[in-house]
Amino acid sequence: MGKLKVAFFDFTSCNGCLLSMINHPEFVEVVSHVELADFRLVRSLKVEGPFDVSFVEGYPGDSHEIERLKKIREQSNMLVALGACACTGSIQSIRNFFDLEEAANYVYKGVKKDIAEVKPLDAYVEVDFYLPGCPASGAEAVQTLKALLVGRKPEIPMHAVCVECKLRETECVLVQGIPCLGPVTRGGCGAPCPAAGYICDGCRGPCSDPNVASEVEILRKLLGKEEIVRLFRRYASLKEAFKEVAEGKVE
Amino acid sequence: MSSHEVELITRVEGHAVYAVDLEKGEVKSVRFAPVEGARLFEAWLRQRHYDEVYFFASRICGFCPVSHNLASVKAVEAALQVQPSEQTVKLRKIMNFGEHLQSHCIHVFFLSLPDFVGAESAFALLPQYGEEVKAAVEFRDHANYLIEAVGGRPVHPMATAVGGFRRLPTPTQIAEMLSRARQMKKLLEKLVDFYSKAKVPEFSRETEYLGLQSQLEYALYDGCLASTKGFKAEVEAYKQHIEEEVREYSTAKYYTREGKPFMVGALARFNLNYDQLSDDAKETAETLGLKHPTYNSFHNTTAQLVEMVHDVDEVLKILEEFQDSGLKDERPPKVEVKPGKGTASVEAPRGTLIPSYEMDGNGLLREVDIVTPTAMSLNNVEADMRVLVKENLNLPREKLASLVEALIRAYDPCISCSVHFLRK
Repeated sequence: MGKLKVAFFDFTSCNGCLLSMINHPEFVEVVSHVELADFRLVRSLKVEGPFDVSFVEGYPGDSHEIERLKKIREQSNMLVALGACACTGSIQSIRNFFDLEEAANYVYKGVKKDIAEVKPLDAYVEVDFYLPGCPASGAEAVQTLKALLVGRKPEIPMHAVCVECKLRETECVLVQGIPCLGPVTRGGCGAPCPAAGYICDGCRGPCSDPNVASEVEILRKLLGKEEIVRLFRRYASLKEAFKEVAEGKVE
Repeated sequence: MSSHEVELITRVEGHAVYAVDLEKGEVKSVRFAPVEGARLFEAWLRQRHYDEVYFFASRICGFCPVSHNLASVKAVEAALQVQPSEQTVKLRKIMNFGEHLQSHCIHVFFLSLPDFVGAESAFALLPQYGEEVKAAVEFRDHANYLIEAVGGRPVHPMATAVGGFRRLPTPTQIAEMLSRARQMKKLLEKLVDFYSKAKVPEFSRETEYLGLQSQLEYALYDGCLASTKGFKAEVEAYKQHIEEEVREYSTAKYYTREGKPFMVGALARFNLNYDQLSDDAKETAETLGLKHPTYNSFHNTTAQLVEMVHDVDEVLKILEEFQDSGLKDERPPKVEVKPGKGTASVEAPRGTLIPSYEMDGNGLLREVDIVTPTAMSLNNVEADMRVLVKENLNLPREKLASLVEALIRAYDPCISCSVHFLRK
């Protein structure tokens, strides 16, 4: 069996997910075991498809990028969505709540534009694995690459962030009366944000079977309706579980 | 007429294309155009709360999230008239230095240096320069630790707050940062030696070099706007001095000052504030043959390495002080929300970054403008391209293309940052 042929593509994004992956101490070692194909961010050499695995960061921001994504899918045996933009549309999806015409005019002052509505990759193509997070976890990306290298199905957790705060013994922010989306957000990140004195603001999207109604009930004691809506709009308003609240259906 | 257009430039942050049109052996037109999908940050940051906007600002760029985060916090503080403590400013400076160090390290050794030694990527350098590349990786890890220990994580930090920090680094983390900064100082010897193997192309085109300037220090975290042509202005007045322009051939916004291109970034800072560099940084410049001033834009990469020496020296000073005196247990102050306008600036690795906000009485943003360094340098990239192509018309086309790409790369353009840009 030859080496696994792996490509890394980036679409409209901040490149922070690929960077987090490259930053991981094991990345260079792991990548030395694959046949490295396209990786525009760090190398000039282009390698033609087909690819065994394509990691895709970002979301398709215009019609050209939508076409490019479809081509990449055709050439890839497996496609991994890397990071929140690719998985859920991330913070960029906040702009879906604006009139696109008005928003574009605000920035470009009437200049013609080709701007796609913000949608994650699976709005256009089939996605095999999702590595959520803003930024994506470098460790999770490297683990996934390792699993695929040995032909094992990657294990990407679906439990809530709360599990990981307990594991690292971070005092629960919610019981301190500080609003937090940890109970309904997918873990796997290691819960760095509450540990840094912040909250979980939901960058990895909903966990499996989230109790959003109960979460909103708790938040309702701490926040106004508009604040709750803003919180749910941050990264994953397109996901079924968060959609209603993000669209303003809060009592 | 012939033209050369590459699909996407490799080894730069974000997506961009360039084109050179030649007619009868003359350079007819050049262009450098980011084609990242329009991200419209300024539009959708409106109606968001001041206490979350700096976390969104980070997401403008994964390569310089700290600069965006800090500039945004500073703009909010300016609007709300909040004065951060001396300790807060020093901690922020550690984050800012950490980001400059990791970003410069990645750009110098992984993105730009391959051009100067004829390799397609840092991976291709491994067989011959394995140990040197390893040193660069180690250096980057230490730099990332500086950001993580203070900011919570290297990409998109979340420990910052208006007026202070949500949590402070522990004494153990301070000691660890200091130990790593000392290791960085040592690694720099090897890295400077490695870089001295680089064959930086000859080129010269004088321009206006613009950046922050301060009487107190080599300005990165704060200062007023200044240039090598004697221009000086408060950051708040940026709109009166820096003109925004939409070109016909591109929907990108380009900037000029008094109608002319200017350059921001490491070389601009080097040319503008050379005297305030640390002694070791000046010595490194001499070792690497970087004269002050330098009009060769390819040397932006060299200037970054010189800054790395300076930044480590400065980080060491702050950390040694923290190690001796410890941190005071400061919490972010209570903020009184009121309508206001705030403009601020920091030097991002790639140059001056200026966010400007207008806020209402509920703490929601109403007007947003963000001027990014890459956008400010674009005009100058094109002006350089024009001269470079003209002087090298005798080269085979492929070689000429590589040279133009190397020039663009030397600017360390950050396309995600240039949120104003649109595909033609």
